[in-house]
Amino acid sequence: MERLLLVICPSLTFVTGGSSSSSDGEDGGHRLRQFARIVDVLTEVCPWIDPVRPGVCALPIRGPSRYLGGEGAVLDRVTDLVTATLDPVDPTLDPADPVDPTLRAGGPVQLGVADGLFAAGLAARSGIVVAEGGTPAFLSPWPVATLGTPVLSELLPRLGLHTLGQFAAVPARDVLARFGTAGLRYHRLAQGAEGEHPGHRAVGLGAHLAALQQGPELRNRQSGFWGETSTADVRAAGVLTSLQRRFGLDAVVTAVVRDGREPGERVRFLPWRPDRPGDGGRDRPGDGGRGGPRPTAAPWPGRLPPPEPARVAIRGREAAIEIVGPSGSVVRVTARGELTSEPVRVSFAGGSWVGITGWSTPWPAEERWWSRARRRAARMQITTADGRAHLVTAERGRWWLAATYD
Amino acid sequence: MYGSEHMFVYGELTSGGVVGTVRGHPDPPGPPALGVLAERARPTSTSRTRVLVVHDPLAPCLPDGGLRRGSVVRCSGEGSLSLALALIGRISGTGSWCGLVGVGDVGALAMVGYGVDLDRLAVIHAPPVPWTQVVGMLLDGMDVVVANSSGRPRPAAARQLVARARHRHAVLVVVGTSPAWPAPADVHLRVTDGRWQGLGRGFGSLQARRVSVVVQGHGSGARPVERELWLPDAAGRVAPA
Repeated sequence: MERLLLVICPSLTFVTGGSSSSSDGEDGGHRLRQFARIVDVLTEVCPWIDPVRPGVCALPIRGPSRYLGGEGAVLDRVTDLVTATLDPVDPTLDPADPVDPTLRAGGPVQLGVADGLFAAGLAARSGIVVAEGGTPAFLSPWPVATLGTPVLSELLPRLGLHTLGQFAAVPARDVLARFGTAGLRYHRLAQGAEGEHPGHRAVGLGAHLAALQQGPELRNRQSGFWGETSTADVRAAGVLTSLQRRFGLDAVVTAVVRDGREPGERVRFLPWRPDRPGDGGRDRPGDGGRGGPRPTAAPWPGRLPPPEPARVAIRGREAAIEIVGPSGSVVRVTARGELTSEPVRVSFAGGSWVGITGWSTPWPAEERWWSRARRRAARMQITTADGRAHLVTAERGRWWLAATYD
Repeated sequence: MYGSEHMFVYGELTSGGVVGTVRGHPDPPGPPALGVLAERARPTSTSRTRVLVVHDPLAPCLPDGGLRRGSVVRCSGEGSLSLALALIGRISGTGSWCGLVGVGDVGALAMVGYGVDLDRLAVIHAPPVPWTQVVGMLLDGMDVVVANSSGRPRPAAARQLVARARHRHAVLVVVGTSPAWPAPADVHLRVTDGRWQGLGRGFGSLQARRVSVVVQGHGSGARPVERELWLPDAAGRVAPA
C-alpha cells in the first residue's frame, strides 16, 4: 500500500452535498478556486497530486522525500507552499477571490502521513506522521465511527466492537457472514490491509479543478495574434499565470518601450498580463529583425546612438566605478563637458583595473529626473582591453556604470 | 536549401534521423542518400515545426539551420547574451513565445533591435527559487527559454532540464560566461574575439561589433567551425561579416 501524505486545508473544505451545482455556489466556488491553486502549486513537490475532496488532497511521499531529503523536508515544503498560496500575495491577482481571514482560524494546513488514504486522513486530523509499517497499530484505537458508514457505526458497538482494532480482530469469515462483501471491505480497511474508503472521494473533482486552473481570464479570452487565441498562447498563459500565482505578479514581467532619451527611461518592465498580446495598442517590432529599433516620431536630442546595449542597469541602481588618468588621479568632467585628463584605466565595483582602449567625447545628459533633482550628468562610451564596451555616466561627482554592450 | 547545405557540413544530428551519414560531402555525387530524400520529401510544415527558423546570418551557425525543438543550445563568451537574443529574435518576431530567466538588467531596446517581440517575451529577472526550477516550468509553455546560468546548477537538475526540453519540444538556450553547464548541450556556440568598431581615443561612438562564433556540435567527433558575424551591426541587428 502506498505511503501517502494527506494535506487538509480546513478553510477550503466543504460538503458537496450530493449535487455538483452546490460547489458552484459563491462560497464553494471561491474555496474551490483557491484549492485548485493549491493543487497546482503542490505539483512542484510531486506531479501526482490526488485531489480527494474539496480542501483535501494526497500525494505519494516516498519520491519527494528522496528528492527533498526526508519526509520532514517534504512536510516543511508543503506547509510553506500552502501557507504562501493561501496568503493574499497581491489582492489584485484575483479581485473576485478575497481571502477571508476568519476562514483560516486554527491553522491553514493539516498534514498526516500513513499507508493508504483512510489512515492518512486520520493521521492528518491529528497531525501525525505514522512510522513505516505502523499503520495497523495506529488505526487500532480509533472508534469504528471513523469508517464513515452509519450501519456499521451503529451495529458494531452493539456487538461490543468499539474500536477499529477490535473490529479488525474479528475473523474475516465471520464479518463476511454477518455483513457481506461490503462489510468485508470495511474490515480490511480497519485492519490496514486496504487503503481506501469506498465512496469517500468527491466524484469528478479532478476534472472540475483542472477547468478552474485554466482561470476565467483564459477561458474568456478572444483576441490573439491572428485575432484568435492560439493553443500556444493558452499554453504560455497557463504557465505564466501559474508562475505569478506562486511567486507574485512582479515575478513575470514584459518590457514596454516608450519615448525617452535614456535606455533606462525608455523601457519599463510591467507585470505580465494574459490580455496583453495582440491588444493592438502598440505596434509590433516582429519584422524579422530587419527594421531595427522601433522608430519614434519625436527626435530626442542626446539620445544614445544605436546600437543599443544588451545590459542596462536599472535606474538608481547603477554600480559605482572608478576611472583614472595617466597619473592615477580620478578623471572628472568639467563644467564645459571636457575630461580633466585622458581616461586610462577603469575599475568596476571595486574590481581589478582594466585598460581603456577607446572613449567618446562626454556628452551632456539632462534628464527629466535629473533636472528635477537639479543635477547634470555626462555620458561616455568606453571600450576596454578585454574587448568589452560600456556606457558610463558622470553624475553626483563620480562615475557610474549605466549599461554594458554585452 | 540554405539550411540543409550546412547540415552536410556539420552532420552529426542527434535525432530525427537526418543526414547523419553524409558529413563531409557538401555536394554528394550520384543519387542523394535515402535520408536526404526522405527529408526533402517531408511536408515543409513538419520541418518547420521541428526547427524554429532563426535570422539568416545565424542559420550557418546551427547544425539544423535553426533551433531544433527539444534541443539545448549553450552560448558562452563575451557577447553570449547578444547572441542568445539574436537567436530568438526571428522566432519571437514570428509569434512564438520566449522566456528569459536570470538577466536582471537585460536591455529591452537591444532585444527590439534583434527582432524580439516584447509582448511575447516573458522576463523573469531574478528567480525567487533556484533558476532551474523556474526554467523547468517555463519550458512547459514557451517555445524557447533563454536562461542565464548564474551559478553552476546541480548536474541532476541540469539533466532534468535537458529531458524536459526534449519532452516538451521546447528549446533551452543556456547563456553564461564562466560557470560550466554540467549537462550535454546539442550545440555550443562560443563567442570569441569581439571587437567594437567606431570608437576612437576621444572621438566617435560605438558602431558595431565583429565577433567570431565557434560552433561545436554534439559528440566528441564534431569538428568546431568558426563563423564571423556582426553582433550587432550598425542598426542593432545581426549580420554576416
